[in-house]
Amino acid sequence: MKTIRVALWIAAVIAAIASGFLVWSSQNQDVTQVTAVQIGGPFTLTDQNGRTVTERDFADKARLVFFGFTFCPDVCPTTLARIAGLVQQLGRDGDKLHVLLISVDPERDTPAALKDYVEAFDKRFLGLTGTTQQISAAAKVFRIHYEKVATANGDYTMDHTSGILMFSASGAFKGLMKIEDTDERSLASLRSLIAAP
Amino acid sequence: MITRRWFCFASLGGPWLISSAYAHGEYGGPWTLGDLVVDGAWARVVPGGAKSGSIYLRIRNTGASEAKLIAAESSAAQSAMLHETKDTDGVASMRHLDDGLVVPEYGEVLFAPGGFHVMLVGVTKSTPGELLPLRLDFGAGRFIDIEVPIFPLTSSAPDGDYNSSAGADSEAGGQSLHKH
Repeated sequence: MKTIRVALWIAAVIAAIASGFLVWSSQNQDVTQVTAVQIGGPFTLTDQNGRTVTERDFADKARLVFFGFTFCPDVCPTTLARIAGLVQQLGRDGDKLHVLLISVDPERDTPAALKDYVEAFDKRFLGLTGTTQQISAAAKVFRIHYEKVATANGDYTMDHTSGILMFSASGAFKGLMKIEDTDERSLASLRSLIAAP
Repeated sequence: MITRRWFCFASLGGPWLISSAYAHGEYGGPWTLGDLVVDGAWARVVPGGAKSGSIYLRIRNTGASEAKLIAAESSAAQSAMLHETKDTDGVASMRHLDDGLVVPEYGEVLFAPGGFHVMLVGVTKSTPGELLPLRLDFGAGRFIDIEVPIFPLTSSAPDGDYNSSAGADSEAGGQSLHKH
């Protein structure tokens, strides 16, 4: 009887320690989660030439990432035209930057459609699409919201986060580029983005 | 909370004023119908791979009673719709103006990127320098036929100053209500 009682006590102590550890580790995980919330990370998509690409393919340069779609009549072309104008003004430094349009409308945005679209703004721009799962995963990684919405003509449009995300060459998120800024300010922030580690 | 924080920075603050360049002479207009004057009309060329585009313009009402734009149509597109881009916590969405758009007495309405626009679907004309025919329908048989010049793709800043807003006053939602 005595040995059983001792064994039970030992078991109880082990259980207490174990549950304490679980509580501690789960709290610890929360802390890590909060501090480590990050924008940007791994993704697998298809570029406008039909190649499978991941975030590692763009790790050699600073990058601007924008989510949009080719059927977008207002925000997307305005944003891309704006970026194209700025990149042209950067001159040679414009080559030190990847500009990525990631489609939120993979149903309609085939690689070929994206190629014609992004390259019309600047030959260096890249258009990425993928399966609906790949797009959804990429949107999560970049903290992008998007949603299909029916339009009056029986078609659909996409609501989407329209910010231009800036990343340094090492992949560090450097904030959003403000489309309404003056050329001078936008060019300064692009130059410091290119120079950042 | 942290995940949402940067969305706040994304607020784009209503229509992005492309340029005030109504004085440049390259924009379409003015066209007049009674007290209504349409000017500053332009469209960006529809990039390859896309089928949708937008027309931007300004409608001024010099009269003492309000007017209402109820619809638009173009023979160079499958459909034309009156839309407004809205920005909510950094998420851009497009709203169809089901009830049309009021042009207040002695006021004006500005269609500009990031705000009101006439969305064209299935555009058949898209070469810079070409003119897009557009009919603006103000109801009761009142309409203005205009021809909108198509600008090059990167022409969001024809005067090189994207943020210039002189002369093209605008308030939230793209509607400017200037009483003279």
